Amino acid sequence: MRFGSLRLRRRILSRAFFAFMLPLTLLYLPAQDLDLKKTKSVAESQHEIVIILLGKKEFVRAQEEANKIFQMKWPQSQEPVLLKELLWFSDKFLDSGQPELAVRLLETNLSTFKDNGSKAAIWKEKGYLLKRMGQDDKALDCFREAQRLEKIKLRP
Amino acid sequence: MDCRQCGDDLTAYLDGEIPDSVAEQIRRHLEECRSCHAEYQELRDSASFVELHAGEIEPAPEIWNNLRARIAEMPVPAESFGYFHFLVMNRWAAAAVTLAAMVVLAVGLLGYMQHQQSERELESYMNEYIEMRTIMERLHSLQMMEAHGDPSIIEAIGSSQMENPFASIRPVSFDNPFRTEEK
Repeated sequence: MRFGSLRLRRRILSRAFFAFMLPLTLLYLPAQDLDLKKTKSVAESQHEIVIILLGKKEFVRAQEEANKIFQMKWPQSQEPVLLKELLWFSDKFLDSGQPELAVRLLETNLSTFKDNGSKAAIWKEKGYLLKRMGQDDKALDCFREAQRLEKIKLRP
Repeated sequence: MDCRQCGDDLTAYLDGEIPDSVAEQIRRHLEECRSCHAEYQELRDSASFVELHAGEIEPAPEIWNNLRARIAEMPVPAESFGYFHFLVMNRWAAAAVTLAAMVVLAVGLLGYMQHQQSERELESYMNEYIEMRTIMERLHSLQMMEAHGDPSIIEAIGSSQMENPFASIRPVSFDNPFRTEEK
């Protein structure tokens, strides 16, 4: 009897929870989707601006404009896209003979990333750039940090 | 040369330990000065006496016995081992210290070996990434050459438009990832 009443109470509670949460979720999701769409649209323009500035060899301005993409309000789900973008920009700066700016770009935007895997990827790229710049000791430190973060990520 | 100088150098003169010029001066002074000559004679006699009797004088056995007895009576000074004096006194303490030293050494050695191992791992981790990035960069430069219409690259690529089956690395060509509308 007592067990039955507990089950009943649980059922009522779960139904009440869904009754309240479902409409809230349905209201919240489209709003969030709309925000993301807006952010993506701005980021798309920023991306194009950076490409144009890189083409015009205005590297410092390009780096500043690139920073704006990562300073926007992004949901956690977009982190892989942002990482891809950051590493690609870093590559572009390196191709343009601007490894210092690439390092600065990575350093400035590292804090945007929450996932240890993403952080490790950024540290590795920074290490690679520093190695290319002949700063072997600093490069080794970056790889050490990347390795540490990857180990944390792999830990169950 | 005066008497004082002669007196100072007399023993050295007797032993033949002074330069010839000084020896000549002393010899001349001794011929002229009676008192210095007398002193020289005395010294020479003493030296010849010691030479003649050296090795003949043997101390009496009582002297040896007395000497031994006095040495035996003298207090033995404690051996000094500095900070480790207590180890000599206590075998257990010595064993404990030896054991502790061995443990410290073993831990240090283990730590050093682990450090070396992790450094090797880090180096291979770094080299792996650098190797991958170097390949990617070569690919980039080839793509750039292709983009600028290098005939050798275009010929190498030919008409095979197969999709790369290993396309897991960062894409060489990169579209705007934030594009919201279809091109």
